[in-house]
Amino acid sequence: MHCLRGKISAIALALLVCALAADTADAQSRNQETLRKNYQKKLEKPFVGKVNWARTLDEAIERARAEKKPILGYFTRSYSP
Amino acid sequence: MEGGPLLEEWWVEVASKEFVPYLNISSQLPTTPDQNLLQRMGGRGYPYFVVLDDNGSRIVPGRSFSQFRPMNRAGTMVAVAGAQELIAARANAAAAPRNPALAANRVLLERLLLDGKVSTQEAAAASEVEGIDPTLAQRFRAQEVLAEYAKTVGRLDRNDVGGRQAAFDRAGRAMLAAHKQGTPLNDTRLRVFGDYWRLVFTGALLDGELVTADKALAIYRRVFGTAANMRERISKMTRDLDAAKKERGESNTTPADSEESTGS
Repeated sequence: MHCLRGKISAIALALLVCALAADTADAQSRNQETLRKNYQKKLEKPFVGKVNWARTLDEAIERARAEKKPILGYFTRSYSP
Repeated sequence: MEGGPLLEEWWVEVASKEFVPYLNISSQLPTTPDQNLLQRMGGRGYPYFVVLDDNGSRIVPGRSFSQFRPMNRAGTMVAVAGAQELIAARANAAAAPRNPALAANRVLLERLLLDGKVSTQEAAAASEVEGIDPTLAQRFRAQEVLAEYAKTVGRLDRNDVGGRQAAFDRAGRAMLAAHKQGTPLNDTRLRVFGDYWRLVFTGALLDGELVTADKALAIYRRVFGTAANMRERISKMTRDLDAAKKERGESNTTPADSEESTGS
């Protein structure tokens, strides 16, 4: 009897762990989706289209060397307002 | 910023002519470019603006022209001026590789604007080369005085008023010596400009060189006199100079009778 109870408990625990893991993965996926949407929203802001921003530091350096100009970097974030 | 200055016409114009604009968006998504670059650039919060040379090296904030946000055309132009000067100096040196003065100008600017690129000894040697831009040599001397002062004060206890005053006085005398050695700094856009003239004033007052103190105060007052947060400091400088003049039986200092020349 004790043995059966132990097995049931172990199975219940395993199911619980699986459910929690699935929940976490789901939450992470939803979070990633939100981050992607926020990033996209940031890219759609009018200031982005106003000037020809270099989108990577490597690109900025390449252009700066070619044009003999400095780089002015603007750091902003999309994950939080 | 994004709903204001970064939409304005002056911004569009300078961003296409004067520098390469680089946009870094922290997204917490590993697939987006240059994540965590802000920390590597020394930034601690958003929004953050940084000026880089054409190799991607950061112009140290405060070394040349003040740290800034591009609120208007003039301020933005000032912010990128140091990097433009460095890029031009490198191009000049590259175009005339046998010209030691042009090479020395480049070395001095790299010392002035970049971290860890040029040693104090290399820059000191460059500052002695004949034909260099004398203002660069003077900026280097002034920056060294300020760096030494900051290092000394950084080691002192916060409550060590006497120690701090002694360090300030030493810096004043060192700046006065630099002032006598080279060309006076006249570019009010330079971050070091205010400290330079305040310390020249201090050194001159300590050494009883009241004509130089008078001129330094006049320049300091002309540039900073309208700033509300500077009034008390300027009043104290004026009182100190007047007291020194009184001791010698000279007339008091007023803004009107101070000569506004940067010559020593």
